Amino acid sequence: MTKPAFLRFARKLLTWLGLLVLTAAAAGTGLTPAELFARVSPSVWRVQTLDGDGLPLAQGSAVVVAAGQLVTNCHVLARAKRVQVRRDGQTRPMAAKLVLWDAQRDLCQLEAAGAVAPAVVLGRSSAVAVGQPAYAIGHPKGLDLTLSAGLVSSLRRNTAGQLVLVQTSAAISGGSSGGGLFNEEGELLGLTTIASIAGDAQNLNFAIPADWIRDLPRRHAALLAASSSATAASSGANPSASAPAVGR
Amino acid sequence: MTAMHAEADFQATQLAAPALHGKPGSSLLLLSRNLLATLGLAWLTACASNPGDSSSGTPSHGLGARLLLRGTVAPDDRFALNLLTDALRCTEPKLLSSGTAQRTPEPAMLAAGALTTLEFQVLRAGQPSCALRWSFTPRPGRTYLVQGSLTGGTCGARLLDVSSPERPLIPSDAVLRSLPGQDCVPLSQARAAAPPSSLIRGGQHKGEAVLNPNASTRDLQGLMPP
Repeated sequence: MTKPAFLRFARKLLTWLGLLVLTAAAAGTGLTPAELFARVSPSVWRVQTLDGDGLPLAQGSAVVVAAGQLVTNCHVLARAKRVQVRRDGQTRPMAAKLVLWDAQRDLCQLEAAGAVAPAVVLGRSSAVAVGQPAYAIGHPKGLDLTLSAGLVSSLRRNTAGQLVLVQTSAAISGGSSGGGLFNEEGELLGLTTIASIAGDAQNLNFAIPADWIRDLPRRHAALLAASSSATAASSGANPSASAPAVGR
Repeated sequence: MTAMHAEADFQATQLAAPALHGKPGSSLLLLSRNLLATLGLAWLTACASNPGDSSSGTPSHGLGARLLLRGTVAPDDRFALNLLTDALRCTEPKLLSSGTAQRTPEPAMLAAGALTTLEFQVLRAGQPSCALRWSFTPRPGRTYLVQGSLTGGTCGARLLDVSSPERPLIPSDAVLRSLPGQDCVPLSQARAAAPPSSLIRGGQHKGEAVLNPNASTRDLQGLMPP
């Protein structure tokens, strides 16, 4: 081999090696399912609602989005008089209170002072792509912290083309509501909310998008302002002033 | 009809998590597919209503809406679709179309832009049964389908917008006014009773995407701060 030919060969070899390294690095950004579970599952809590007599009413899931702040589906909380949250492994649930709500988006936020857990990172809906891996973590049927894997199957939009639901093949069941749907970096894609029970349907599951969690304080404040505009106008109250924090 | 079922058979209901006194303490919204549930879908879909569309009572000029009827019934039965001229009270039926297992019904036309109440029924030995009623406001140029069946003891029907046949939709303002064997409930009551349904399609409120435009905070009152 002549010297110029050797140099050309060496240059090509280095280029290919560089590409290999870049590819390996890119592939390495995703967590393994085990790593993902270890990272985010402490932030997925169990929700238990109680009626006026203290009897269990419903059970669901919630995701910690800020210190002491958990988001869940409002339908989990329907008709409840009290609500409790519990982290896996805790024997005693802690009382929580409803602080933000957006019934139209089925999104509610609870505050539990003792809910110490890492806040999840909220993903961007604009970055969600059909086909990417998706992992659901929740408390289906009371089975604490169940992990299931699948794909983002589709993005469901309203007639105006706005994203309404992230469809996933990651399995969820009753009790998963309010649980987390995560991407392979452990970012929250949405809250698992709807599933199909049709006899001939398989793995047709849906999560409300994480972007809605960012919107919650604003929309909640707007809701309060709209529902009590007369009172607010006369008292000069600012309903958004005390809005709790949410994850970003 | 496979594609049609794929969209239209979805129904969202709340799954009752184990509760001591049997209340629907939901922990996951679920979709189901049986026919009666599908009936409910039309009802539930009222939640995605566009307030500007409904019950205006003012017919639009020009284009009407096309109405198709399909039924699955026993060989000796007949199915029919009535327009209830008094749409609010569900009275004064006027036959729009009818068919049998062997004969496909003729299409009919509806006035667009006015509140319309339709009644599907199956006539068995001349006696009406399996009557279901919906109210909605047809939109000009759209094609609607009422599809019903009475097979065995199961009776059901649904109202769909099939303007795009490959993607049939429940009309966003459709409200189920009565189930088989029941009286027509007032429109306001039907709307108020309508639970969330076409959640998969979601909706829009004040320009923002929502899951259910008609959802209220009523069920959260027990947890709301004073």
